[in-house]
Amino acid sequence: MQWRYAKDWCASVSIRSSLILVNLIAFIIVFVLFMKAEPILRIQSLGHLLFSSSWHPLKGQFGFLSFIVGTLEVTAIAMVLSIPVSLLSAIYLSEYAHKYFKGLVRLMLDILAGIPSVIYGLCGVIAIVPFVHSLGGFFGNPTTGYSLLAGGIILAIMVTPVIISVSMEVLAAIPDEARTSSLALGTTRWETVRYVVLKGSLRGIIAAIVLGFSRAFGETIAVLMVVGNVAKIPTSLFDPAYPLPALIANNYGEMMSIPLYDSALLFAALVLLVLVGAFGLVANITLSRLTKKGYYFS
Amino acid sequence: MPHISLRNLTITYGDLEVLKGVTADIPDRQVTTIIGPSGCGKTTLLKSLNRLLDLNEDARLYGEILMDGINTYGQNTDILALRKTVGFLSQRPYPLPMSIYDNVAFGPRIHKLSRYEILNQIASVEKHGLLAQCSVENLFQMDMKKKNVEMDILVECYLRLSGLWDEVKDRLHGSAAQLSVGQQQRLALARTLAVGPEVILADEPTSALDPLSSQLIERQIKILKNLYTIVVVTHILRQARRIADHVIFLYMGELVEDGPADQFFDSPKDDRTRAYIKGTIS
Ligand SMILES: Nc1ncnc2c1ncn2[C@@H]1O[C@H](COP(=O)(O)OP(=O)(O)O)[C@@H](O)[C@H]1O
Ligand SMILES: [Mg+2]
Repeated sequence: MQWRYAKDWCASVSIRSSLILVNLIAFIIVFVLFMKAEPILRIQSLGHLLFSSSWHPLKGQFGFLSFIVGTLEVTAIAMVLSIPVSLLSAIYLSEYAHKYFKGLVRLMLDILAGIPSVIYGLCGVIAIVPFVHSLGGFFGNPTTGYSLLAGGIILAIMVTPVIISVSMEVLAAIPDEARTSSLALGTTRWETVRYVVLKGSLRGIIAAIVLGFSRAFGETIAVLMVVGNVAKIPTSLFDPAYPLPALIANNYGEMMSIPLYDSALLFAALVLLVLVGAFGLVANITLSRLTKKGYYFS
Repeated sequence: MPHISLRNLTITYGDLEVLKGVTADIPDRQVTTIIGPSGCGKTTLLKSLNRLLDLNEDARLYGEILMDGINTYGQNTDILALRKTVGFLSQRPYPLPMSIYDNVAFGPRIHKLSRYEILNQIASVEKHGLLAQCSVENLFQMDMKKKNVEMDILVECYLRLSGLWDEVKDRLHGSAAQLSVGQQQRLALARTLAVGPEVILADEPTSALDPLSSQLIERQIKILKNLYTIVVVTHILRQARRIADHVIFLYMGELVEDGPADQFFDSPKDDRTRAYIKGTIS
């Protein structure tokens, strides 16, 4: 008897300590980033760091605005391109497609999700950059093709399989009784999808999108290869941009002789972390708002 | 009231012949129970009646199902209208992801029933005196100028008709998922009734419920047969005895015997029926 209590105690302790460990790591990361970014915060005001776009490290000017704008815009373009396509695909696969076709696509999605991002980057350079180049020409916007739009497209391509896969799982979790119950009232397939299946899985779908885009914010290599990397606020889709992850990956360890450069890059990392965190928070608040407005999740 | 007849109905899933040439009539405004052991094709038969079977990609159907003499598997069938006329209660209730009120109002809203149609529908229910302690005059004393008041009346009417009103009247706008399974099944009944069907199909509607909730469902079924043609699948023989006016006995996909309940239980003709009633086969 005592032995069983002992085992139970061991289980509780190890479960709890794993959780503490995971949280502790997150905490340590934030703490270390903050400590390392602290020197630059002491010299320049937070407002100046965040809202100035003058980036001249040699002159000691570290304004991150163009990088922050670049990150947000690349991600926003990717979301606009990816969310409708992903959701419609997931709905088609889960609600309409024949099960053999579904199996085939699932396999393909797994492969797509597993492709290393550097390969996406290469494909971007080979295909998307020339495409954006000629698109720019067509719209009277001469561009090299290395641009915000190219970065957004490559990012959209990368997150789409993830969002489709997760959304498919979410939709599959809605029991068949839900569809039968609704269809039996004489609703069409689309009405059932719209009012019952999607509504019932809204929480999960939002989670799928958040998951996809938390990755998108931080996606580095592929974006860096096509986005142009010019530290200026882009004024059109065809202008180059310079997102935060690209800035960090391009420069960390290279230009460390410049005073405060190292601290500035770690500050960039901190900003990136805060952006991702804020994104998740906004998603959560949206969800609780929806619940209050009378959406019920089962 | 549509008169339902099955003519030489055969249904297959791939190579598996689940129903083998079933021919039967389903009497109007009575409770017909379909009984038989697990896997004999009861659910399949039931789902073919409002073409929910169409959802199953592997299912093939031969023969005819006639409603007022018209084959529902013919070319010109309006499936949505058919399903509106022939409602379906599944084995496990599923509350739609919305409030109790919206669950009942869902169907009428989708079908865009007008105020006139809704009030007409309720009046025809009331004619049979089924809305205990709630005459239409009472309902109609509500402020008719209020927006959507007819929907309020409809929701109350059908929640009363399914025997759920008293339990939920104070939390109509709460989540339906928080109801007990028994209450959810009665909510599903209200939801089905709200679109104004003429036939109600129920697939083992009490198999997920506790005895008390089952009793409530059985009671509602007995009340509702004055108004609707009801087909209940069950594998509980005692339940069939309690509620059935008419019985169809399926065994391994074959219709062994059908007829009025008294005759079926008191003087069965087929050996297999006798054995099933005695409990020697199952
Ligand atoms: N979707 C399906 N695909 C293939 N076979 C099925 C399917 N659904 C049911 N069956 C088979 O059809 C037979 C009858 O099933 P069902 O109508 O559900 O019986 P019951 O409701 O009487 O238990 C069973 O043998 C079952 O295995
Ligand atoms: Mg069954």
